[in-house]
Order: sequence, then structure tokens, then C-alpha cells
Amino acid sequence: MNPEAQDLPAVPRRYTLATVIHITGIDRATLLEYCEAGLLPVEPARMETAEFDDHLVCTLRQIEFLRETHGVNLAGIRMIHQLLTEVERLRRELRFVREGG
Amino acid sequence: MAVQFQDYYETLGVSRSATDREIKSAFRRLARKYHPDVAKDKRSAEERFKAINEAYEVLSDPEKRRKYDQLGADWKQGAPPPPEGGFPPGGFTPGGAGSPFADFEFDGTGFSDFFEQYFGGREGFRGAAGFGRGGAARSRTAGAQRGADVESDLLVTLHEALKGAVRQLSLRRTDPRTGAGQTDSFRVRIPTGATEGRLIRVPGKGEPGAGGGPPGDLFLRVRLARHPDFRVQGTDLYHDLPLAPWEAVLGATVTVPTLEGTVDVKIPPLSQKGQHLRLRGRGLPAEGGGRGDLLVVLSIVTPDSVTTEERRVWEELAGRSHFHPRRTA
Repeated sequence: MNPEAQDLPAVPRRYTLATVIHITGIDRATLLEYCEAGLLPVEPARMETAEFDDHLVCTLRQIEFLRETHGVNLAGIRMIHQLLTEVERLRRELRFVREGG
Repeated sequence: MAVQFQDYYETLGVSRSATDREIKSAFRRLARKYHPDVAKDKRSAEERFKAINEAYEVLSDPEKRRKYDQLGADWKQGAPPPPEGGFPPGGFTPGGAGSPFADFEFDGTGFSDFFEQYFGGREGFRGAAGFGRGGAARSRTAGAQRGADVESDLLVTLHEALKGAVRQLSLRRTDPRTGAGQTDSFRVRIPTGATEGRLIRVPGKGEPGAGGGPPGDLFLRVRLARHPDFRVQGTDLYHDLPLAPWEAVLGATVTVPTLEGTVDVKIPPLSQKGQHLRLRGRGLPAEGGGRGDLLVVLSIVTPDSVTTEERRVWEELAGRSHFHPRRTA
């Protein structure tokens, strides 16, 4: 065990828009573009006052990665995101059903 | 670091030809015995409980079990090949641009290196293409590049999800150029109500940046440990309760487990198989406050054997009963 281990404070569960911009380095206009494209579970009109969580930060990083590294457009990203969300949901469902009985 | 093969069959104490039912039965028996909340020696029990959970995670999934069986045979002959559709052995290799630390492994997540390498954090979001795990190595200044994000699963017990917990994690990095190792230990707070799939971001614990860029983040994805008594769906818990036929017909009061001890539940007369009895507020904490429910799912079981006297009583009932389960209304 590292004797200089540094304890982290409790991870905040909710972030303001300004914090998300700081964490991800994504500007406000791009975030609005993502909201309007339906990539984020936030209504564009409420983006300024919305609360964001770690899941959304991870989603933003994934979007940026797909755009910058693979050149996927927003429609493609939306489809990929929906499919991955559905796979995760089905995995949970399958796990629940298998445990039954 | 060498990855040690884990004999999951041995962990559960079952043969390699064990049926799904035998595996489930062995898991439930051992999980009850070694559950951290009931065992006397909590530290050793916790380690055993995690190992049991990991073994069951693989052996209860037909696809994972098939891969594991193939891997086991290869392991005995020497170095294990990568699993089908999987990734090469050699540790966690995010391979972010410019990062000198190509290999790193976690300790304290509740999963062994062996599991992580072959069944855990190398699927789906964390695929070889790096989606999610690779993250966006976004440039903030010319030449500086933020380190890639890292994603890993974190095994969380239902009691930890109920009460919240603090987990000690350690991250071992190996510089592939020099072979030098570096261990970074830190604590992570598991929030109350950590549901399956929830992400916990640990800032700055991903890959180091390049050219003076900041490190990436670590994203821990909550995986709820299997519990011998409960299934989880969202914030609701399900408990399967077997009843004798006469308990279902006549009604009864039975004791059922909850996360905070046992409660007595009244089974109404003429209960049916599959019927749900809802215990409000006995589930996991919900996002906006409050708690989910505990649903008791009734099943009706019959005896494996009967005595001569019991058989006589059943025959008498059969002769007198007006009940015909296959008659349509």
C-alpha cells in the first residue's frame, strides 16, 4: 500500500453546466448542439439550469471520442449510444431473469 | 504482472459438469455463509464472498462459462490464448496517445485480475476500440494532451448500496519501456443508492497526460454483487418465497429476509404461484429520495417424497376436491 495514498473527497454527484464545461473542455455551443441532436437527456431550453451527473460526463467523453477519433457524425453517435444503452438494459434484464426461480 | 488462473468450480465446490441448478444452489449456500454482514471474521469472509460472486458471475452465464471452460483447458497446457472475440492477455492496456504507462491493473474493485482480463472490463463500452475507456484525449493547449479515461467495474454489495461505503482501491501502472512499477492508492466513496450500472467518476485517476496535459479520469461502473436472497431490478428487490401447497391455500404467516433483518409476512389464503406481495420501502434507496420496494414472489413447491400416511391424506383430498386446474371457464 502506498503510504502517501491520498484520500479523495466524496465525489460530487451533481454538476452545474459551468462545471461540466470545465471538466470536459467542451464549450457551451457544442453542448447545446449535442442537446439539440438528442444525444443528452437534457432539453436544450433548460440546459443552462440543468444538473449533470457522472454518467453524463462519461457520455460526453464518449461522444467526443467518436467524433474526434473515428469521425462519426451526430446521427451515427446517437445510434451507437442508443444501441449500447439497449445492450446494457438487456444485460440487466437477462441477469434478473436468470436469477429467478 | 502475471495473471493467476482462478478455478471457479473449485471456488463454488462443484464439479465441471455441474448443472445450472447445482451451481446456483452452491452459490446461495456459500454466499449465505460468507456474506460480510453475517460472518464472524468479516475481513476473510469479504474476500471469500467476492471470490464466490466472481465465480458465480462466470459460471451462471452460459456464454461466459463456455469461454471459461475453453480457457481452462488451454491454461493447463501453458499460456492462455485470448478469449474468443476478446483481447490479448497482458493487463489493462488503454494505450492512450503518448502515455508511457501502457499497462495498469486495479486492486480493490472486487474482481480479480483474471476476471478483469477475460470477462470483466474489456467488453461493451470498454472494447478494444477504446470507446469509453479510451475517452477523448482532448487537447487544451498546443502539444498538451489530456490522458485517456479509464473505465472499470466495481463490485458493490447490496448493503454497501443501501448504506454507502468507502472503498480502498489501488492502481498499479507499469512503464513498458523501463518495466518500472508504480502503485497509486486512493479511496472512493460509494454513494448511497448506487444502482447497477451507475458511474462514479474519480478525477485524475485515468491515464497520465502527454506533453504536460492533465491525466484522464477513472470511471467506475457499479456492478451489484449477487445476493443469495434477493434479485435486483432498479431500486426494487425481489425475494423468491417457496410455499407448501397448504400454506398457499389456507394462508400462513412466514418470515422473510430483508436487508435489515427479517419481517413476518402474512400470506393470504388462496395465494397463487407468481403472485407478488409488496413490502413498501424495503428496497434500495431511490435517486430522488425514498426507497424502492421488496417484492416477495410466491412459488408453490411439492414434497420430494411422502409417507404412507401423507399419501393417504393427499388421496383423500384428491377424491374430495372440486379443483380442476385444467378445466377452462
